[in-house]
Amino acid sequence: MSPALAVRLYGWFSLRYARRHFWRTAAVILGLSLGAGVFVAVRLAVTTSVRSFEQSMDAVTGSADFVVTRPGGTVPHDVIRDLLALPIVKTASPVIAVTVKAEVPGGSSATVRLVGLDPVLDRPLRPWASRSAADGTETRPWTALMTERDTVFAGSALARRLGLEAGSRLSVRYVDHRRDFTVLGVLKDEGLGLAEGGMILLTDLATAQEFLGTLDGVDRVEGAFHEGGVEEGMRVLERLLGTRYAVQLLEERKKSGRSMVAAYEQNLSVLSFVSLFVGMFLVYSLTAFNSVSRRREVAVLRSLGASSRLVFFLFLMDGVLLGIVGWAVGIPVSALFARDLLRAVSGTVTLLFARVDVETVSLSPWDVAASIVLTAGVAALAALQPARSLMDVPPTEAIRPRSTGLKDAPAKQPHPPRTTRLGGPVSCEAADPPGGDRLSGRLLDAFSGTGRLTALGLILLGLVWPLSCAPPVRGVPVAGYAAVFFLFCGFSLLAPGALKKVTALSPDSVRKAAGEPCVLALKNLDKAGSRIAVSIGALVTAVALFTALVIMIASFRKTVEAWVHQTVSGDLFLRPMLADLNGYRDPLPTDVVRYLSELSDADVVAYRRIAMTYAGVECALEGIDLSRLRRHGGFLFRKGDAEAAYQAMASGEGVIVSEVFSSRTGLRIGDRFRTTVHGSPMDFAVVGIYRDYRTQGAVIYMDAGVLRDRTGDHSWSGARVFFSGSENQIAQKAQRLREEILERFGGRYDLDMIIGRDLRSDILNVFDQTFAVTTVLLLMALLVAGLGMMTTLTVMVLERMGQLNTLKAVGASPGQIRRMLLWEAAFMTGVGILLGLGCGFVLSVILIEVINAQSFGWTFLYHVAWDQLGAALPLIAAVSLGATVPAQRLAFRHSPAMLLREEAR
Amino acid sequence: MDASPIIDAENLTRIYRLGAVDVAGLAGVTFRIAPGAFVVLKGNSGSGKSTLLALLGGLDRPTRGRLHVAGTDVFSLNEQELTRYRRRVVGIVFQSFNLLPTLTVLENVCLPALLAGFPLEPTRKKALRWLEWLGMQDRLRHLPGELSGGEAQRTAIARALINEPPVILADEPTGNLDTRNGERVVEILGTLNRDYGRTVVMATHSTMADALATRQLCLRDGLIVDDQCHLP
Repeated sequence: MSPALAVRLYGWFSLRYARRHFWRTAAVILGLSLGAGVFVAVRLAVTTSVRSFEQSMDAVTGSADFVVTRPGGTVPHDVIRDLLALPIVKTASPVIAVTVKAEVPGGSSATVRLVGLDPVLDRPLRPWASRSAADGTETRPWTALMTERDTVFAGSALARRLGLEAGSRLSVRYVDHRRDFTVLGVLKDEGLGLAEGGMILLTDLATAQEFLGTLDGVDRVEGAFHEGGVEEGMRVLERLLGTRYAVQLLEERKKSGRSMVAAYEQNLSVLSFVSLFVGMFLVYSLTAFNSVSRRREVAVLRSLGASSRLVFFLFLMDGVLLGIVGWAVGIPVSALFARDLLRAVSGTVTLLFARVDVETVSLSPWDVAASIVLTAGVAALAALQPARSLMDVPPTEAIRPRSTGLKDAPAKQPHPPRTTRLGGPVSCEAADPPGGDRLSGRLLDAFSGTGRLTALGLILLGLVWPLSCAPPVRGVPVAGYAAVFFLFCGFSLLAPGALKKVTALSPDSVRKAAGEPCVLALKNLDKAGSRIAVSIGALVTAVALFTALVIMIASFRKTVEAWVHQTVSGDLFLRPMLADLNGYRDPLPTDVVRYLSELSDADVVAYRRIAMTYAGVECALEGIDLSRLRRHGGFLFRKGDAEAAYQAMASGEGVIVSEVFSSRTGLRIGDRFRTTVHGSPMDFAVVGIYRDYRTQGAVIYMDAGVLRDRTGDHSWSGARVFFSGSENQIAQKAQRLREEILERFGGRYDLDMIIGRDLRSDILNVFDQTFAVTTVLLLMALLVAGLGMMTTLTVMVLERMGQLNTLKAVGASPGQIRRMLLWEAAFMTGVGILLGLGCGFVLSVILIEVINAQSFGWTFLYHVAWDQLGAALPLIAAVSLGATVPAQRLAFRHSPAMLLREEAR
Repeated sequence: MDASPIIDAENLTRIYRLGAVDVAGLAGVTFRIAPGAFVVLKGNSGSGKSTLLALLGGLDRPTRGRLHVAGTDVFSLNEQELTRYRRRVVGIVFQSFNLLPTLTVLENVCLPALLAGFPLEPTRKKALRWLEWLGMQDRLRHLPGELSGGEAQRTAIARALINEPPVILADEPTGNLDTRNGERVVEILGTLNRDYGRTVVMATHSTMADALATRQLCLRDGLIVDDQCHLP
């Protein structure tokens, strides 16, 4: 058969049918479009942000192979000279990079990365150029950086934000350094111009050193080997630099960054896919219903000479087309909130990983193609089984108007013969339209036996735990996702069996308790069998997701709250400006330290934080005054004995590491932590693993005294100040001290000071904002599930119009029929919610113990938010019951007489 | 009986299982039908009429037996060949019309020819000719739901004729019609048999076709219990 004819037949047979049942089709398309819209929007937002992150990372790295740093200090110029002298090193470039505040005369300011480099040495590593002016010439040559004092090139995003152009003046501040610069030009959006999302100031190395007062060294040296010399080059460097310096392959660093972002990207994509997954249930529900209700037409088609392949094509195309239309309708839906989502996602990427600055969603043809293929593919997958079941429709069904209960004699019967069950004083079956009994029988065939589905469901559930235990693949919990998928499928497959249990309730006791409408509802559900189980499956998925995320977010929040109050203890936090963004490269000024040390009415806990790389993982080693800290708080231990750990730390025998550090490096209790700080080798036992939820959460803690002894470094990276008294008194004292420090040092130094109470509340606010995206996804999934319930109930009414009218004819009141429909919805919702809850609890454990642990390296204290679940589940139930409204209206739209006449024809 | 029958059935048996019991839809019937015959199948409900028609139409396969229609060994055909057989050799008219509800009258009639691979335009012309002959020229764009029973059945007859099959099978074609429309349908089948040389096998309870039948086969409990040959 020619494709043109197949398409023509599809139009005649399927499209017209869809038009005829417009609302049914529209509801499914709406559900699918919501799922597709959410999925597309999330994908766009996340890929745009991640692309920006990767561009930034590539731009910063350029073609450099290695980086040399000196944890806790700067790399002296001699090292650059030695490196350049090595035959295997092609080039080496010293770099200084700090995050600073930039201000223009008008008062606008921005946080920006100031990068100082040697324009000549760096040129082979990183391309960058300034934008041409309107007349087509380059604004100023790059060599001007070296010849003109205090000059910079500005990134394009920064130039846009502050209105900079060639010749503009701007003031740059960093802790105790301030200087005015002249803008030579604006960088093109390529190479280094893409770093930090374009929020960058580029200057000459000497200018940066002068500005920061670090004339004796640089932050790092980056370089490249001659072609093919990476392995040998690394060996040579390690020999040359010994353990005093850290040498790292930049590819490793990039890989580590990519894998972290990939985990975030995967998690959000998988979460958004759930909406699409729930939409899949809708497509399955509709095509399965069509496949059953149009079985007679299929038989006629076959009797007229249609091949079984044509039948398969017609019904599979239903799924594909629903997917394509759903996608097309979903695009405007995604456009509605893609921008807000982009802001949220890029904010989270900036918060968790690295700064990205994107304002518009970038739409690549690949993204568009992938989203349409995925949506259509998912919908086609949903239609596959119903379409496949119709290939076996024998044409002989066209000639047999009624079910005879007859089957082929030679075939072995796998199941006992189906019988029409009658029960109660009012028989539903008596009022069936012609072929109704066969319809439900065929439904059972189409969906296979309940027992088989239950068995399959249990097998899938049995695989969940082994899969959960499998390790991640390149930092992505692939097996964990598979476990989640199996969990959803497994619980959904249990739905028919659970429904069967409910419908097996004794009619007499049900009648006594809830009246005849309830008995009828149970019988109707029993008869509708597996098809409605599909809608219940959608509800199970949505409720499970809701339950799991409510538990996960509540657990996470509860743990973060505990962490905030125990570990982030302090009434005033003090550190150099933007210290966290600069890896605490500069200590607190000495006069500030002196002033703090002399405070009499406060307890000051000082710490020294040193940024470093351990086993390829970016982390921080922190020495903290343990004895003082323990007076006011401590660590939230996940593994190890807290008291023993504190003793080992105080005696200089051990360190404790964060859960994130442990999961990323594989370092466990009893392992040795070995590194070099300030050129001094260190070797400690890991004596505890504690929970840490800061954005750069890979941290190693040791006692500040031990660190001072080993390195000779007495500087402070920051301090926490504790006061005594009531909460209000503490807040007042903290505020007073803050003002005093500002008054005393504000004119000279830029310091970050934050009141403890505000910091803790900020952390929790950031937490809530980060999970806002998740909540939107959650609501969408529930909405799609609600649409599924509505479709199913409406279809059930359509299917039984004759029966409903017969009930009216024999004296059932509209109220009784409404109650019957309501009971049906109530039982479906009840089963859906119960199974969803069960699935949700298991899912929450997988999310907390597997997905989060493998993706982000942290776990939480398990906490069920009974209050939230208790409030939300009745709401879900109410929404599901509300979904009966269209069905109820439909049931009373036509007069019974007319419908009975139509049924008779 | 003619030496080269258009339908040649031997020991046709179709057994179904009802619960634990085997029920014979057809219990081994043997008969031959000459080309151009008008055969009426009679019998009570459950006697085996529809089962026999299903086997003749290639809609079902027998438990045992042999069947040749228009020189084709029907039961040796595979699924694909059986599909082709249904397209080319037989045209079926059903009691409940079985028109596809989303297709117009003209499209319903064209459908079997399109499925058989004939091009659209000649098929449309041919369908128009048959529909005009059947008095349906004013209802071409109507959907089945907008037709009377008689009109629906005439459409079904046109559909059965579109591929010009040598054998027309009709299963209670008057069963859902009033007397006037029923008589008209029987008259059309008679004309097709008499003037167009089609072999007609019609299962019916009514006596409307008795006058046109060249042969009556009476079935009871899956067996032919009476075989009367007569000329009208």
